[in-house]
Amino acid sequence: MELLSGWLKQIVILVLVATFIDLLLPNNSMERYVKLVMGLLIIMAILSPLFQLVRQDLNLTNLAFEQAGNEESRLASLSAIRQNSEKLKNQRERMVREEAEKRMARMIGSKLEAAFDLEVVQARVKIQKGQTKGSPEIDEVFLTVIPEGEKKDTPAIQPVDEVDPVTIGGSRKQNGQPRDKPSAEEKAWRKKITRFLRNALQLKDEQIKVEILEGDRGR
Amino acid sequence: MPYNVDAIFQIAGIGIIVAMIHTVLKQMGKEEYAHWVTLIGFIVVLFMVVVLVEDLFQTIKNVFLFHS
Amino acid sequence: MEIIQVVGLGLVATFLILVIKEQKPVFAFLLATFTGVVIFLSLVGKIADVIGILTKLAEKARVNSIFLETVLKIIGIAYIAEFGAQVTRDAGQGSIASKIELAGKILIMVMAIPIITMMIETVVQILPT
Repeated sequence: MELLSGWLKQIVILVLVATFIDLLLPNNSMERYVKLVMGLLIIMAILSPLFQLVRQDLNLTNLAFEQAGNEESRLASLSAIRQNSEKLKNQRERMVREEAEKRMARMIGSKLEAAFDLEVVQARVKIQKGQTKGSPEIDEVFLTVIPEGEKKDTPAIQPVDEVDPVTIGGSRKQNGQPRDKPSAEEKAWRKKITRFLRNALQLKDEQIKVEILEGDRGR
Repeated sequence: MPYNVDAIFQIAGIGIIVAMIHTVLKQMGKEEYAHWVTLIGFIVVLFMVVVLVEDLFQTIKNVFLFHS
Repeated sequence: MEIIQVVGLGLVATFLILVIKEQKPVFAFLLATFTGVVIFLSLVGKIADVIGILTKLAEKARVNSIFLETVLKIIGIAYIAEFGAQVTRDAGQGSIASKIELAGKILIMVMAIPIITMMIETVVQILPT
């Protein structure tokens, strides 16, 4: 019943439109042609259930004229372009941030190595998101260092330290709660490094996470 | 409705004045000047008409072909 | 009373054209074109209203939009072709005018070709069964 009413509505409206258009048309030279096309359209509308019966894949949009198709595709591509641009912008921002983080980490590491007698195994800097212009603000600094004296004792451990990053994931928890036996030496190192970084970069204490590795007690 | 109705009188006035100048210059024996005046007047009027026809085409496009 | 305005405009333009035609036929032709465009532009708003109502009706009845689009395109082509043909015929170029009309007719027929193609294909599909 729903189908039937829709079908009838379609035909009625189309005939109405055709009549209006017959009235709207200018002189009669075009009239025959327009009438032919309108007649074809009305026949189409009348037969459309039959067509749907015969061909399931009937899709009028496939029949649309080239202009209409072009317009649709252009519209679609416009939104796609917008999306793409958004994506690319995000990507670029992320890449810029990552690059800045890397450079800052390298700089901090080399400065620390120059200032103290230690080796920086890993340095990571987190920059605040959403910071597009102006100087980026440092959110957090993760450091993994080995005091120089101990590094020489355990040269075999060294590659393992580099391959297996200590500070990712677990590091935060480790830093949050002190390790089982933080020795006085370690504490002193940590204090020194933290103070140095605080003065150099104008950071707060809780933004600086330092982890001291000592050869045999690594993890 | 009062859509550039003044322009119709403007065009008619330009036409009449150009015709007058043309006649006067012809009487003075300066044929080439007369032709130039006619040409310039024609260009001015043509510009007005072309602007309006462009408007017409845009309107028809908007109303009929793209029913936006 | 739009009709009085239109008729008055037409009469005034006709008189002016009669005056100018003696001296400068070119200006008379331009004036005629201008007047025609002005009259049409003053009426196109009404046509747009009618078409808008028809479109809304059709959307409510869920008529396939391809039908309506085709119909609107046909009227647009007819109007523009008619306008161009009349202007050229006024200027005395009857042959160009008939070419413009021919172009309009052909473009209208091109609109019908996809419909005809689809009908014939369907009939061919039905027949062997």
